[in-house]
Amino acid sequence: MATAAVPGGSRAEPGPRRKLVSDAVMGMLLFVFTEVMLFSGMISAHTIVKSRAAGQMWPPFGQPRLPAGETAVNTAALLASGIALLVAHFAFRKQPRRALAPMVAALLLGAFFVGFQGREWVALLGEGLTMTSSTYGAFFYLIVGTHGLHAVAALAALVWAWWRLRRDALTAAQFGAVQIFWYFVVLVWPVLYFRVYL
Amino acid sequence: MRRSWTLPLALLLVLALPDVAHACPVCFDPREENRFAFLATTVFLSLVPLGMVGGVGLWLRKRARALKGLPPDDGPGSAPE
Repeated sequence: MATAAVPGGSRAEPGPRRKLVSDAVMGMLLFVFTEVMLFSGMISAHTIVKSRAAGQMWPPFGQPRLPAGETAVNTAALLASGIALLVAHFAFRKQPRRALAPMVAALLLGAFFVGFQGREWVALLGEGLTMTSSTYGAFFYLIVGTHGLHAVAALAALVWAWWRLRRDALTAAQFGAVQIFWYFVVLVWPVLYFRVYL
Repeated sequence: MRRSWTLPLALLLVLALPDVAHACPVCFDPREENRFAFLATTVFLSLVPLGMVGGVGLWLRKRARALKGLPPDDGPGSAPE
């Protein structure tokens, strides 16, 4: 809100101030905080249920095993996409348009991750692992599915950022917000992988 | 007059009303693995938000120190966002 100057007034007007962090970045940080708590709750519930099965079989008898080896490769692809986006971050600081190529690499690796997860789901459904087949299946689809939704949304944000950058319209604040979202998707995955797959 | 019996009545209710509270059936398990899981997840869920808020607080503090002396947002030479 603009304040009117008081002629001859002794009260000093507050000077212009530099924002510590842009609104876009702060908004995304708050969103990521809530998502971290969402995943923390799901991981905690999974830990409790898994511990109650101590001494029993986990995964339960008759349920297919999750493909931990193949998913490890997929995990590496997602981590590599995070590194590619970090490269894009440094390139953007030097000259924005130089971030285009590493952004494409991050996008392709992220799309590979999502596609691979979809293929894995189809195979597991074919083997009889469903939301209702067991608690094991319910937790798997809930946790991994929630992460998958976040990955798709973050990919859409990356595409949007790449499109804006191509038109020289991407601001540092917008790119920062998109990066935070993608790093969240990348960094939360290894935790889920170790808890759910191993 | 009214205040003279309020305190004794409150004390009487405090003594009379409480009952034995049974532990939540979901949270009770004699097995060591399960008790440890409850403890670990309680600590985890308590520390995660504190860690996030603390981390951002420290980052903002560091940023504020780094920005000290730089021109304001709308000042000459400030980078567009």
